[in-house]
Amino acid sequence: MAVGEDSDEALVARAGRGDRAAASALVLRHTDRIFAASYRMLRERAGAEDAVQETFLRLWKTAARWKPQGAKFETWLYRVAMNVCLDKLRKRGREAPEEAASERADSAPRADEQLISEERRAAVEMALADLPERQRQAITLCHYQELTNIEAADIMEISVEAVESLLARGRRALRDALFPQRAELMEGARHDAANA
Amino acid sequence: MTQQTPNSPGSEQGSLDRDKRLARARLHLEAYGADRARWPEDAKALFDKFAGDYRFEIAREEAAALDETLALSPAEPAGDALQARILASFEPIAPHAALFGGLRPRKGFGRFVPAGALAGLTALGFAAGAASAGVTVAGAEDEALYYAEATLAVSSEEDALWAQE
Repeated sequence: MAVGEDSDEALVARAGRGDRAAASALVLRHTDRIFAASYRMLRERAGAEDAVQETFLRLWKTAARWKPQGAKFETWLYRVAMNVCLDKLRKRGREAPEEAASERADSAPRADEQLISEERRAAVEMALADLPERQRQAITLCHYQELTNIEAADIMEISVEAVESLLARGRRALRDALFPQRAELMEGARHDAANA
Repeated sequence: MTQQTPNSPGSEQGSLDRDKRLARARLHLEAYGADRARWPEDAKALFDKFAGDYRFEIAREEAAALDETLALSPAEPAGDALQARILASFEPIAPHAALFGGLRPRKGFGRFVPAGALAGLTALGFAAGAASAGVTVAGAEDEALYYAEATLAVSSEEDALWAQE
């Protein structure tokens, strides 16, 4: 059977028997999504590439022992990648936002519209980078990777309710950061209500 | 069925229940955003119930504004070079180690021989080797058991490869 038609679980079983074609198929199938999630967590390319490579190396080394145990293979893959990213973040501290901004610096003159678009994107990415790690992880998995709350809970090894709480708090923090006028208005309204 | 008036206990309870469900719907907006497709399956009925309610729609517009803003940050592409780099980093797995899965060498019982030492051997070669030792190879599991128990000479450098597991 061609590797393109095999399920992830079948490919993992074959990779566990040393089948490099099966391992290649898994890499080709999942690298983009795992990288996208890792990049959102780490906010710099080199670290995200290392995280993805480490994730697939762990797969290659343990494929023979991998058992579904009720979870999808992709869930397992995300869990490994996210844990690798969290380890990197804890070792690195919070230097990533500045690195990400400097990576995008471009001295070439650009049209106003493109500049505005770049600034807005940078603002979003800065706001995401400023979130606490677990809130950023929840938003990365559910909003950007479009995983279900159950899958995200499985990956993060927490309850669905905890995922929802992280999502709500993360989105509130993003809203306050990206729509500061609204945040000020709300703060003013709360202050007025307290003094009424 | 008893008609409920605005001041009757039944309608008051119904109003409270509705307010609670609306609050729950708004919490879902806060967590999942304005797009119904992103809501959990078991909460979509709540979305449908309050769609059109002005209190829900106000919160939904705010959530939609954030969704649109978050969409300004596209996914970063991985690139072909990363995939090639990952595949190049996969070391060959020894065929018999692949058969063994999680088994590890036991002291005094012999060692696994990494793929490098057995390069060029075919499955037939394995079977021939097993047969020369007086063992009938009936299947992959039997072959795995044979190699787990056999004593093979192994260099210290190859030992180091297995110590990394």
